[in-house]
Amino acid sequence: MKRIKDKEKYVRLQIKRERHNTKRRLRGRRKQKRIGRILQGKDKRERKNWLRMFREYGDNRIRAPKILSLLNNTEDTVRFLQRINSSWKKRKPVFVVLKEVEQIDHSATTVLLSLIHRFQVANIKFNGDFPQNQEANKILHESQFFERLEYDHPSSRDYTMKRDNQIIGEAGTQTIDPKTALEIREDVSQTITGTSDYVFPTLHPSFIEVMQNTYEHAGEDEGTVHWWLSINHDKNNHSVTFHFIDFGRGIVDSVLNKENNRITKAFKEYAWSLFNSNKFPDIIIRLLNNEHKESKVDYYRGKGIPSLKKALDNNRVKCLSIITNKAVVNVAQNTTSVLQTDFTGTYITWVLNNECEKKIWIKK
Amino acid sequence: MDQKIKIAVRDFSETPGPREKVQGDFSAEFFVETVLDPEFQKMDADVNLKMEINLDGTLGYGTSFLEEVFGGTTRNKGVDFVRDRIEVISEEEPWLKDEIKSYVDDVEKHNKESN
Repeated sequence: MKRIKDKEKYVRLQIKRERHNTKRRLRGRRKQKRIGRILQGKDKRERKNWLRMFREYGDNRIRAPKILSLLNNTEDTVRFLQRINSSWKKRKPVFVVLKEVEQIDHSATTVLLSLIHRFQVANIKFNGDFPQNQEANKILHESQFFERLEYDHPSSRDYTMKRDNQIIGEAGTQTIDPKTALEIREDVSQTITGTSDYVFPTLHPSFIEVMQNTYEHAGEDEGTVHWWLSINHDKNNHSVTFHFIDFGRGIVDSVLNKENNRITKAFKEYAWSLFNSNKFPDIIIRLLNNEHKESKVDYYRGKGIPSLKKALDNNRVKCLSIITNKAVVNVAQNTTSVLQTDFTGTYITWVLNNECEKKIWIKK
Repeated sequence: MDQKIKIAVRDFSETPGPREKVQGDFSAEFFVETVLDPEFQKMDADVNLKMEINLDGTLGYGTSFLEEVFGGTTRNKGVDFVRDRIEVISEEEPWLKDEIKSYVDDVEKHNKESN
């Protein structure tokens, strides 16, 4: 009779185990070597910090591009965002490496703040380091990015962040709080005109349009996707820039999905091939020009996005740009481009300045 | 002389909101339910009664608010009711009148296409 350990089945199992253990040992050795190389030349304190971060965030250190801006370096910034978003989907903690960032603007700080909010609401760790470039560091500090990192548990899913009475971040799923809208009016008027006596007729409606767009179209169900609004006051140039972002499905995806729902499966494939990514900006332009028709039942809907274009055409807003899915549309300059990386979400920015139409505000 | 019911949206809110109540505060749906519907009942009882809606004095309107108020009323009460008996005042933002007209026209066009 054969002994158990000589049986063929047992031997096969032993070989398999040994192979697995060897792989694991080698992987561990490679990891140790890699860590050793990284820690080489670092002093004791730096080593300790690095190892603490490594224990918390593992290998998931996502390096930001040197120019962190959705407007000036869209492709690299979107790629960076998508890597962070992919970690969010996998519920992996993220450490954002910002030290090499040389230029950062408010489009990027808005995105970073919205990402922190997204991770914190999902209870996933999110951290980052400081840019070595002083100017970039200053902009990031002013955005309250670092304070936000330390704010571990948001008490509510919706909240407002303020600095010097200026809204720098407001998150929500519904449309804007009326009280906030009134506060914004006063601040915007003060920055642009030097007095708080004016109201810009597109100020409040543009919030309603973009927020309602997120509410109705960004998620599978209505009101499930968070938006984030950031308002940047440029007191030197007397202008106010608005950055609005959501991480929903994106406008193009929403349009295509709707079209596909109304048609048969065979036609669905045709529609997708027809609307390949090169044509994504055309879809946005069609929407802006009100050439996209809603279904016969909802024929009266879908007027929000076109109204932004109308506002631009009638000198009620400036510098309107939209980035969604793979489409980049600078509506103000009438230019479009296609991204290599899919930006799952919608980013809209616009500017109000002294050239925009305004009226006297009569207090109640 | 025809009598007029005068409504100023500013009395309802300085910050008119989205289309539906679930979408946020001061929605068009809430405005229609609480402000317009009771007045429409009076108008139904008296055919000579007209309505004047003043849009001035607010922070501005989203398209969905105006569409729900005027397009929605057109869908519920008919094109003639809105055209003949509701007058819109908008001195601060005169373009809103054209927008409202286009919403009413859209409903009329849709009704014609459906029939």
